[in-house]
Amino acid sequence: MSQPMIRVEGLGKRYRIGHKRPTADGLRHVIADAVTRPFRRRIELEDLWALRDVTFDVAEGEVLGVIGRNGAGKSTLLKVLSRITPPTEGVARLRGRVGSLLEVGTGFHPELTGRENVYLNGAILGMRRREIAVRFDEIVAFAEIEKFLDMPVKRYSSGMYVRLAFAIAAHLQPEILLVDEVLAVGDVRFQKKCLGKMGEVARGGRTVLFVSHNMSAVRLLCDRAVWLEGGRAAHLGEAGATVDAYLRTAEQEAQEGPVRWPVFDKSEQIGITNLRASVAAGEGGSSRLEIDVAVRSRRPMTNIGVGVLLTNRCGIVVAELGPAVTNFVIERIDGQAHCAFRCEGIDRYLIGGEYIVGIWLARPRVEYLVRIDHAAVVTVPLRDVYGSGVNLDQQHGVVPLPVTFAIREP
Amino acid sequence: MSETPGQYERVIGPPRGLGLDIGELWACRELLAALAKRSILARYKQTVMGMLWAVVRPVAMMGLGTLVFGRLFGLSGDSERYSLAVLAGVLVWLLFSQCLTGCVNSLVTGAEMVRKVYFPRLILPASACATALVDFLVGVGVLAVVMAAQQHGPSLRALTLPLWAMLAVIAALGPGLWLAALNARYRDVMHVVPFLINIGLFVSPVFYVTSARVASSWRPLYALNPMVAVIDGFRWAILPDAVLSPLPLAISLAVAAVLFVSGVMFFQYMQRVFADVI
Repeated sequence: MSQPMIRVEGLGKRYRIGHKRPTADGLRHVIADAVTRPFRRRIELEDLWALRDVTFDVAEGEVLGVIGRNGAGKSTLLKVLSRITPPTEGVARLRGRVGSLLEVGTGFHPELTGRENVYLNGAILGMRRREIAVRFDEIVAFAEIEKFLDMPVKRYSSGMYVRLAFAIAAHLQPEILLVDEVLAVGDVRFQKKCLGKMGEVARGGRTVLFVSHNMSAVRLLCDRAVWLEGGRAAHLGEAGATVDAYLRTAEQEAQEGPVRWPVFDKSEQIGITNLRASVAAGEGGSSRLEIDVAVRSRRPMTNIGVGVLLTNRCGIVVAELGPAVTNFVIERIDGQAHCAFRCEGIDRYLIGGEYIVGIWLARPRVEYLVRIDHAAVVTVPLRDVYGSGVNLDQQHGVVPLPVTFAIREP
Repeated sequence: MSETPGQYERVIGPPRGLGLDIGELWACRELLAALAKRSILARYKQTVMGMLWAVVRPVAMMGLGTLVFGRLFGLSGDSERYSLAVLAGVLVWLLFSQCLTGCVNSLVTGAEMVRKVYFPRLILPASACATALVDFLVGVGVLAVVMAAQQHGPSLRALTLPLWAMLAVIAALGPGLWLAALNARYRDVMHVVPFLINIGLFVSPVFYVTSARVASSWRPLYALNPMVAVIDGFRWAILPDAVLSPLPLAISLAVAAVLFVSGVMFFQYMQRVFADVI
């Protein structure tokens, strides 16, 4: 066996978090702090290990999935491996060029034309000018923007913008590819392209590290997976087994209601203060899915997308209702807002059993603000779809397809 | 399986030392050029005059300076070519102030890149300086035109011009790197810089000539401002009657060098946390 492409040993990253530290730490605060310090007890610095004792190898041509809930250290791991931030302890060794699909469109300048941005972005991603020139036509064709090459990208539609950005990243041809699906917001087609490119890269014998919330994608695309929990590797092994282990815990916890509301975004400006999800009796004996979300903002904000995710027990996303698709947005919020999702006759669409409800707030097509994949559990009542006396559950598939059966005369 | 760490091209561990890798910086020269090109292109996009702005600024400052300081305050002294001396001072000063401002803001302007991509962070302030140098080259063109109009031919001393320009950049990079690194964390710095530049304009010999206006006993102290040597040197290179005394020059050079080296070190030390704090 040849040497692994990535070898991570005892990797750790510590952040120091001071309590009662103002979020906006301007110089004024530092000076005020220095002046008042002798008169106060010392600020308690808390160590937060975003990553601790993480060890794994990734072989050449292997696709390693990285799963775990938000804040488990997945993004930090990618940041360390792409050298954006140094680790506090441990070491990671890599062979070959590292590219990532988490930096799509970085450094794009709105005033510059598409052509100028291709060269600029390529240089930022570490491509030589010559390399870009060779692949230029290919990039432009992939992005389908031939006609708009000499137009400033500020006039591009968001779709064109993302396509061009992705095309450049996709043509970097690295030996090691880091993919953060969480950050790859965009339309469904773009996400598919992202996944497609990843599969292609892996089939080409290159190594991929794939961070995802999409358990079925991890099962499908990855050979092995590592599950990060509180910065540590809780499970490392064959992808299916890791996903199962993760889902068992996640489901259990979602049932116990481990999410302590409110959950705010990084800047502490907007968050979800409460969530209630249930399946109630609806009209005409059917069931109704009800998800109520209380959102609070600390300053006036506009265009906040609210998304819902339904995952079944096998980790298959049965519905991802992202604002980019549904256009469910809060147009203006200053203080409280209540969002109500209703689905009449949910039992007609989903097979009976438990479903994990995820919730998120986002700037549509730009970034997630808050994302909780396991916020609650709802139970869709079991139904005897075929009148056979057997209640269907998730062992029998995903949808209660209303199939009829007849024997026809030849 | 034998342990052959040498096979791994990239070893990522806790930071040790300053991590200053000259070879890597050199390898990133194309990125530097691309970033400089971006800011030059972007700066004059959607303007009617385009690059002409690089001409307008020094010319306007020369005109105003000659008028206000030369005529009104009578600072022109015995120098026959006061307006040329002012233009020279203004050009170097603009180079310095643009480098400094660009440097300090470079990390914040490029924050998205810092958070998402790895590259030697020194590239950002360096590309800001490269951008300023382009404007400066245009300014030197203006200077050539003005000299020709005044029928003032350059002497061999003019060959030292690139040297003084480089010195201006280094003099700007010293404080620039210090402030840029601080600015990543404390945005207050951004607001201090224009203020510093305004003060600098008056404590540097932009609108007056050192030899004519500063008493010789004060000059060593005055030379603690590295821009004194830069501007005097630049004038010395193009004006036959300009004087360049060695002691103040040495002091200025030493100050610039200390600031530059310590600036690079401080920047390198701080750069490991840039992605986390910016």
